Amino acid sequence: MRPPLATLALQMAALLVGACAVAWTFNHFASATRRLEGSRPVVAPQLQPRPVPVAPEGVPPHTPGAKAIQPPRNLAKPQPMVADAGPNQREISSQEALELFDKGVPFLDARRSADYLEGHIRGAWRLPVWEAELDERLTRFDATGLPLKSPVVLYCSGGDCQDSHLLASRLMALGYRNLLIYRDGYPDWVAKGRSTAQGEQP
Amino acid sequence: MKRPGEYLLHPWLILRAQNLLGALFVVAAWSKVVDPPGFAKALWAYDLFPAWSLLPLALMVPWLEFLCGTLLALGIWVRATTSWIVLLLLGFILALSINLVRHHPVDCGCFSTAAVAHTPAERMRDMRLDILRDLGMLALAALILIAAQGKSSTPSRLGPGGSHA
Repeated sequence: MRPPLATLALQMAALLVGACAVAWTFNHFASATRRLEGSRPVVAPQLQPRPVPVAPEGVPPHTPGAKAIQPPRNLAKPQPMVADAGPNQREISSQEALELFDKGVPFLDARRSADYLEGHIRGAWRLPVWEAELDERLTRFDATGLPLKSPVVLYCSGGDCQDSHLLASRLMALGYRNLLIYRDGYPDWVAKGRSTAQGEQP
Repeated sequence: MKRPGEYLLHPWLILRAQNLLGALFVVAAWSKVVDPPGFAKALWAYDLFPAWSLLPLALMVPWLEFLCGTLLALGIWVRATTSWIVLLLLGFILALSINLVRHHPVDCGCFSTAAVAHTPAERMRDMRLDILRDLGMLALAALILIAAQGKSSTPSRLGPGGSHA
């Protein structure tokens, strides 16, 4: 007969292995918005080299003159998890965000997909920083050939939301150097009655 | 006359405690099981875990909670499931306490992964309540473990190897 402690240890190990197996299986079959990429941490700030996508499906109309697909730009050095607000990124006010919107500057939505589908700034790209398809969406955005020094506005839910800062680190790793973080985010945009859209369409 | 401890370890009470704790863990796990990215974000906000560990933890912990909760509620492998629950609760309490001590308000992410628009003061208050709730669950788990220990140390009526749990 096995000693009680050995039985306990075996059962606990079986529970752990079972949980890992079910988690891996469930994650494998989950939708892109509910899946984690198992090969690397979500918040790893730099993109890994990846093959050029076949076609940029659903390129939002907010980037006029989108060029043919290019490989992702040279990958920069690793960045801190939340990049310091250095010369490459700064926070902007609500009024500045509106002025940039009127000029046609691209807006990037870093919130979860469910939030984006509920409502987003009209024309904004969906770049959910915590979801599995972020790399693919970043590649699509990068493939538009927007000059690296062009301004790009990032937003999330305002307040203490850090998703736009995390997205900024990913973009800095791609070489973007003029990242403007809309501090008050989507709640402020809605509160001021500005142009929004719902659903998949930017 | 029975001692108070014997009332606490009454089989009827222990069975209800198992059902309650198991059900609580299943409910707590479900929102995380269906939304691993949300839980990964909640874990990241704790600012305690290295980046490489976020994904494995966000994937595995909710399913461990779910599995242990289900089996405990059904009375299967009571000692093993309760031991995991004790370890998980100690981990949650430690993580919340560290952030409480260093005044780093976070959403617990215990029963829901949805972002909550709370002020830092409200979050700190919620964290204290979350620790109290976890301590209550820990006491329940300890009771179940003590009862299971007593059961396993008494000779089984089914003979050697006859124990189910």
